[in-house]
Amino acid sequence: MSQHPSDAKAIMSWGGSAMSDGDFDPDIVTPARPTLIGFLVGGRVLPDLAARIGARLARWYGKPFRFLRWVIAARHDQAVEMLGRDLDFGIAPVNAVKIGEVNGGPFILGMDRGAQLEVERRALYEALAAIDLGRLQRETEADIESVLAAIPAGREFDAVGGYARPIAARTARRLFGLHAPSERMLMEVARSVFNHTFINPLNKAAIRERGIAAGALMKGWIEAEIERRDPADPGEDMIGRLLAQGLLDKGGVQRTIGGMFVGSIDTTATVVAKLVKLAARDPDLELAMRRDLGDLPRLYGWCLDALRLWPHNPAVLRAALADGVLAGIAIRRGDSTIAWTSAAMQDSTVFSDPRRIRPDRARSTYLHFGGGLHPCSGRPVNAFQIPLLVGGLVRRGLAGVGRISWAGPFPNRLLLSLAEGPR
Amino acid sequence: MDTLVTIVAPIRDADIPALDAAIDGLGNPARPELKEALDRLDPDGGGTHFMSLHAIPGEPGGEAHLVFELTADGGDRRALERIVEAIGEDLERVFRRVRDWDGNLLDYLTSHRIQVGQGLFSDPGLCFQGTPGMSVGRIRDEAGLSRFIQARIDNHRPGLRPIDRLAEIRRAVEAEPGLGWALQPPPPPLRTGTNPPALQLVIKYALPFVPQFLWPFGLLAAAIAVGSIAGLTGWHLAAGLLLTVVGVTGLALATIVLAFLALRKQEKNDWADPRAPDPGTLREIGKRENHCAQNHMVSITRRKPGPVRWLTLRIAFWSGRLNVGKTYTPGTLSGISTIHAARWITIPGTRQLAFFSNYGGSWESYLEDFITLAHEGLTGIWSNTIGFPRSEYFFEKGATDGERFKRFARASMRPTRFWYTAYPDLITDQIRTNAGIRRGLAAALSNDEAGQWLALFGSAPRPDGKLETSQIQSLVFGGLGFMPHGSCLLFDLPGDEARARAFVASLYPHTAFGDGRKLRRDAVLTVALGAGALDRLGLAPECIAGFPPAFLEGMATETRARILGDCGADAPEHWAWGRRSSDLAILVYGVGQADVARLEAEIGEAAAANGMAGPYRIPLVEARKPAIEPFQFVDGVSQPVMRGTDQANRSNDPIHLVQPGEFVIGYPDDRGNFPPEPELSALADPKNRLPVADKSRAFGTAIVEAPRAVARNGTFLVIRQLEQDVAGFNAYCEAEAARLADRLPEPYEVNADFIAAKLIGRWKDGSSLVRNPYASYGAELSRKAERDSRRKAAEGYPGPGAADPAIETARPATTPAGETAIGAPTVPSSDQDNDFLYGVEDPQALRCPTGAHIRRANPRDTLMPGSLEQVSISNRHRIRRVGRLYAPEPGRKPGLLFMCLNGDIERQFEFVQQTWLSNPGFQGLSGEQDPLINDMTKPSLGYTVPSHDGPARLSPVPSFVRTLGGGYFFMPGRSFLAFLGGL
Repeated sequence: MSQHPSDAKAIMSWGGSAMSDGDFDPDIVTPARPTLIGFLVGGRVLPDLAARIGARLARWYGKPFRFLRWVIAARHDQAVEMLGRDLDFGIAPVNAVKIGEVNGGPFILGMDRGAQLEVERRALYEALAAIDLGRLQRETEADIESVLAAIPAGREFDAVGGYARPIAARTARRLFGLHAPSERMLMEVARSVFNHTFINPLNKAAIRERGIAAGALMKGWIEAEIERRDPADPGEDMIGRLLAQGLLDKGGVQRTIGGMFVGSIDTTATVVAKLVKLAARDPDLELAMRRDLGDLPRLYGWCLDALRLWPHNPAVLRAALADGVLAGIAIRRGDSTIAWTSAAMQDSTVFSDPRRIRPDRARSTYLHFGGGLHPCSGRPVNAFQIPLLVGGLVRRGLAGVGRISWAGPFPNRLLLSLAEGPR
Repeated sequence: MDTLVTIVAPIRDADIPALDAAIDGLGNPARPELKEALDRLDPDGGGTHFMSLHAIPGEPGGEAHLVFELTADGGDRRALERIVEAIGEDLERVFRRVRDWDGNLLDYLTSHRIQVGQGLFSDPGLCFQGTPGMSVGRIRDEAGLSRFIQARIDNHRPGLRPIDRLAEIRRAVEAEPGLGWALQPPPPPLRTGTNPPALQLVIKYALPFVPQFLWPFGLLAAAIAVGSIAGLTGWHLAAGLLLTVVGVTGLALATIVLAFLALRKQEKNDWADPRAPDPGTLREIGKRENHCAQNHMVSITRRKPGPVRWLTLRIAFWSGRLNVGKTYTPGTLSGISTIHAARWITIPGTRQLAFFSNYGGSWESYLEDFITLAHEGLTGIWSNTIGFPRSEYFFEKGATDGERFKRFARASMRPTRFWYTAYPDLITDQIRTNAGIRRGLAAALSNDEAGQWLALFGSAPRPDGKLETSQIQSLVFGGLGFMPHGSCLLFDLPGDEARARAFVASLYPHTAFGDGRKLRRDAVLTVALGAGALDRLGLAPECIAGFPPAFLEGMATETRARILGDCGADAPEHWAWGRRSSDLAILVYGVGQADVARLEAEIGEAAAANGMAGPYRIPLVEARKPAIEPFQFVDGVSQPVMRGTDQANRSNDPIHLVQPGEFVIGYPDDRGNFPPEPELSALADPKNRLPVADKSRAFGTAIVEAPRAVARNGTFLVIRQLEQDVAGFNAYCEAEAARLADRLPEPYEVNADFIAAKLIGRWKDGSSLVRNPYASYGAELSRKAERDSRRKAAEGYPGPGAADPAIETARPATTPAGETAIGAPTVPSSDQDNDFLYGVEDPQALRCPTGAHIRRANPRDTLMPGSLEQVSISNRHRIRRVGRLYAPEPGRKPGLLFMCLNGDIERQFEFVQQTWLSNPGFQGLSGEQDPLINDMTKPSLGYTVPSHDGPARLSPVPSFVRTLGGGYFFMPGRSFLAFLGGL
């Protein structure tokens, strides 16, 4: 991917934008206090215990669980079926409104099947297929090396705020071609938008308002970037590819970039923080990861399987669009349906010996990045970025890993030190 | 379609003629102004689907009734409001004649609704909807959309992928005002039902039966418990409870048994009405039928008297409800899919059972459906009524007596004097197809789904095992013998992915797909990829890793060489080509040599344009029929026949028929399994053009994110260039013939041809040793002709040139009546016989030696004589040979460019080569190898020719065949080749 001429300076300086950040203060941590959702998503022991019990109960019961209007699929096959039957279990009722609020319009993660989804999905995936991911991977490797080079052995540093988040943010900027006034602003905007869109089920006003304000900023950045592009040579990042392919108008490009960008930073940081904690608790896992540092796909296999025990995304929501049946239980239109992915990934019929971490399980069985029609579109980036970030730390040896401090559902800080110095 | 409302109102018998006249005035079909009013829909598309009105005479001495039945959207109240708003005045004129008219039509209708049920105290009945959940508006809109698309589905543009054709239709729909809704997310599909296993069915029926019909025994048990054992404690209480439960259960079982015996007794004495329907009534019914695509019927019967039928009718309806709701596909009734809406009701306070049905097609076909598909259910219900053909065991016989059943049904029918239908020209199958068209229009995202969508227009979804002929390269269907000229070009692709793809793209238009005989071109290509090509063309490593190890390794590795016996002079290091796997093997076939040359030149230009070196070229000898290989044997006699091909349709010899999965990837193999396929992430196919590994088809499950099955419709091609030492072979045969001339007594005739036949297993003319042990078919035929000629000459018959026409015509063309058939000819009818079984016909290998080339290559039933299972086991290793002779370079020997197709190289080509051909211990032999495919580095004890006179031993067989090169290739299907070419 040859960098667009206007990108180089921006990446180096995080500058070049004259946009106002309005009332959005990036120094306010989102959200300010831990939340119940944050606990459920972020906690390890109780959610894991619940998932194990849920998986066993589901296997014994044989059907999804129903609590009033909530239907929970905890068996792997049932969770997959729920996500796969997207004409029965829609995503639009779950996500469309909030995505519309923050993104200035719809994104495929808030659309059910139809002509608009068909066009926008195709546009996104065709543009993504045209990205030089090899180059993006090399640049991410260089970023990791440069950050870690400044950290001597034994010195404590923040593996989230000082490592995973900023590197994921830089990868996102390169991938999308997005400019923001500062790295900190970029990260906080992404987090605020994500928080309201996907993990604010009670629609709390504070989270919502901050998300909408952040969304407006993000939209402005993307629109400005689109305007800045030369129609004859719009660049080889996602914005450039989307503009060049001509399937979407500028509004469509903005919505697509916005939708993708939102999930690109904190998801990665959360995964890395959890994996580092898991590796620190399990010397065998750390050793195995170290052994496979030279084999990125296998290292990613370790990451994916370890993440089953503490998934960053323990459940996926859908809404029943019509009366029907799911695995033997009657579904009523309007029921909230949940694919309990953390329990499904403890299903012993799919993950034999589910408490054992192994790198060679079938990739298609993992539900970390959703399923059905709406899996995470950034998974080709995850496939190198996550193992590179985790591998960068494991390579140096995890010496002292502290507790994760949470900002709501997001890991905000994870202090650790590395056993070995830079090479 | 949510609501089936039935209103029953009391009337006087004397008023029936007047009421009939009034109802007639409403019309069947409904009068235009009434239809127009009823056609109006609610804003949400809700409306009235069907409606009919009937004056029904009462039972003898009983009350007559007016029955109004309608099928509508929305709840009961809204359905009635809609009717009253639309045709209230006309209806009121009829309803004013009911005995208890209260002056307000809506209130009257609402208060006279009846509910049917299946419980002990319900009015027994059953309702059924054929298109549940579909409103009138939706049905009409989807029909309009379907008509719009039908008119545009053929855009006269050949060669478009299904997904591109669908995209064109989407653009047309988008541009059409008023059709925007069709591109929005469609309603979910109906769930398809599954027939559960027998045990589940028992549980499904037995468990609900208890609360439905046996609850009085529960009450009885409770009453006994309260009354008799109250005050007991401890063991006394437990024993009392146990005795109560056992006693009441026994009573319940006894009741069931008694009821059954009573039913059987009644069934034996039931009266089946022998009378023909009243002609006048039939005429009236006939006047009102077949005005549109649908019809309506109403039947009034009377339940037989007595408590047994009182109970069994309820059980029949209860069973029907379970079937409709839980067993069969929603919208179908025991497999009948033509019913829009139907209901059975019992008119309250009477034994009258009324059946109303709105169905598609003719009455005759409707009744035939019931007779053939749903006779059990129908018998279960209608056998409780007077005059029905006699039943057995509740569900048996009855309606299966088709003609009597039809008489009964016609005799029970009354003319439908008023009937309204909202979509008179649509039948349920069309409604479902239209819904599928709408769903696919909005929901199909992959090329596979688009293909399934196109099948909705006059075709049908492709079954899993059905070959996608147009996706499969023509070589799979035959050796392209109608293009006798050809060459094999071996290329290496450039390192630059874009250039490599561009070169593949240049090959695509010339590549032959489908049954080659139907090609109208002078020259075509078969394109096969080496493992290295996949990498050079940018296929993801994890996808490449999914290809079989043998293919990925290539033929020339040390491991494969040991398996294949490529040792000594045959070792890959001595090969002229193939020491390193070539990226591409391109087979050029042409009608004339000039056609081949022209296409070769075009390929050469494309290669040069993409920076590629010229190919290694193997010119092929012009193919002839029959194909004669250099040792002068007819070749290609025995080939497996792939089911689903034209060849399989012509040939029905089961010993050679194999499932397509034995050769083509993505189909079931002979064991019924779909072998694993290499998969590519959906991310690598953003245009969704590759076949999806998931075989779901119903647009209800998203498959677009499923991995792509890149190898689908492809096959593995093995190529080996085999140089044949003809002089050496002939010299060996002659020397051995001379050596063994006196060894074998008559009728053996030991000569060079005999020795050669014993080595190969066939005579040079292709006839088998099994059927022709002493001389070839051709030789036997000549001898017989000579003997006949001598005999006829001796007996004074005229010679062959002067055949008596009277003798020829005396042979009858058909078997005369009362006479035995003319027997089969005593000699095989073909000189290339192939329907023999070694185990059955030559179990001792006295005719065809165990070590003969063709017996080793396909031992058929040798291990288990006569066992088709053993033939099937052998067939798992069959290869499909498509080789041709190559033209040798000056000074070199001739030979065969052996080529064969495999679904699995290891299980087929390599297995045959290693386990059968090269195995010194093959089926009890010792120290022998295949006479053609032999490894000279291994010691040989000679070659055994069993005979009635003990085994004759040939000298160790020298190597007559040398491998000059070879490779493993993959012949991709059309989609994958286009994908690799970036098309």
